[in-house]
Amino acid sequence: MNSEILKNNIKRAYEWARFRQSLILLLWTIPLTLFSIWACGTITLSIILGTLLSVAAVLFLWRGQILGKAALTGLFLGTIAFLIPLVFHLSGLCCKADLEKEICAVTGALVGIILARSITKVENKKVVYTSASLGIIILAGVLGCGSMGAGAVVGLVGGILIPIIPFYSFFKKA
Amino acid sequence: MKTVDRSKLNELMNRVSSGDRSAIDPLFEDLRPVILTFATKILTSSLEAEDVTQQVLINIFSRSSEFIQGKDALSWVFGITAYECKTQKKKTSRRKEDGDALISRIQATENFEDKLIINQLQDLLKDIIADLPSLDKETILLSIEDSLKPEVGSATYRKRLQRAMTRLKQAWRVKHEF
Repeated sequence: MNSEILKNNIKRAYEWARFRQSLILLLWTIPLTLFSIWACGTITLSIILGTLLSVAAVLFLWRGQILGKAALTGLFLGTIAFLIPLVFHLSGLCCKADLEKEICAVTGALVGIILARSITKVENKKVVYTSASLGIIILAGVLGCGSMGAGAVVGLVGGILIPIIPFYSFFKKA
Repeated sequence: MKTVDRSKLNELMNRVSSGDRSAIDPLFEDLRPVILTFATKILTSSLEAEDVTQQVLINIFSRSSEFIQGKDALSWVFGITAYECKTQKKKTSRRKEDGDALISRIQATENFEDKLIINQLQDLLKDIIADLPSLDKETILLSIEDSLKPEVGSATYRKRLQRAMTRLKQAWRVKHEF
């Protein structure tokens, strides 16, 4: 076989294998989406956000390198941002005292601190890593907080961004 | 075999396994001769070694995400190559066995056809012998059956047999036109 043809076959096999392996993340995102549909009752919003989350996670892991790392970090932290407000929501704790926004903001801050710590461990392309992780965390977080209203979503996103910005600038200087 | 730079190979393998597409071409160029030499040593046929090399390269790149960073890439590559060579050897021996079985089957078929033709010829011959005069018939049967002894002298018997065979051949020609 011609060397160029073989090289092309290898590249095709490589991309296809990476894509197949990245599909494993669907085992993570689909249950999140189903749980969101069950817990929040917002079917359309959950399906749209779940699809976006799945596509982004699979795409990032398939591309690999820094995006692959960001996909995994994002999904891990996104699951935290998804679960904590939903658990409070389902237990009725936040609804009685109208604490949805606060709980989403605190969860966001917690996730933001962990993300900021993980950014310090990344050597190159910190901006790409931060943006990709943030994208996935926000998608997963909104999947959980979306049904609690716009205020909860703003609280979550703000909570995530607040610790990142100072951490990011501090470690950039260091 | 040209000397392999293991640290370079490890670095390229790590890059490919993490998704760096720019490392595919240099890794391919480095690995191909190494795998081919290794496969040629295990397999006797250079054509088989070339086939195995192609298969191994495809396997290595499609399974690159299974490569554990920090491990020796060359050992990992040789492990996959050895496995592919073993599979190729099995395939070759199986193909050889299949070939042998096919040959014996063909031989058996040929033997069967031969037997069928002989049986048909014997039947035709029996028909013609049955139409011959009884003395000729007796003489021919005596010549076929070695255990039976002719009642007449050997010279007479030979003459009778010669005449009987001539008549048999004539009858055969008349009946079957050749």
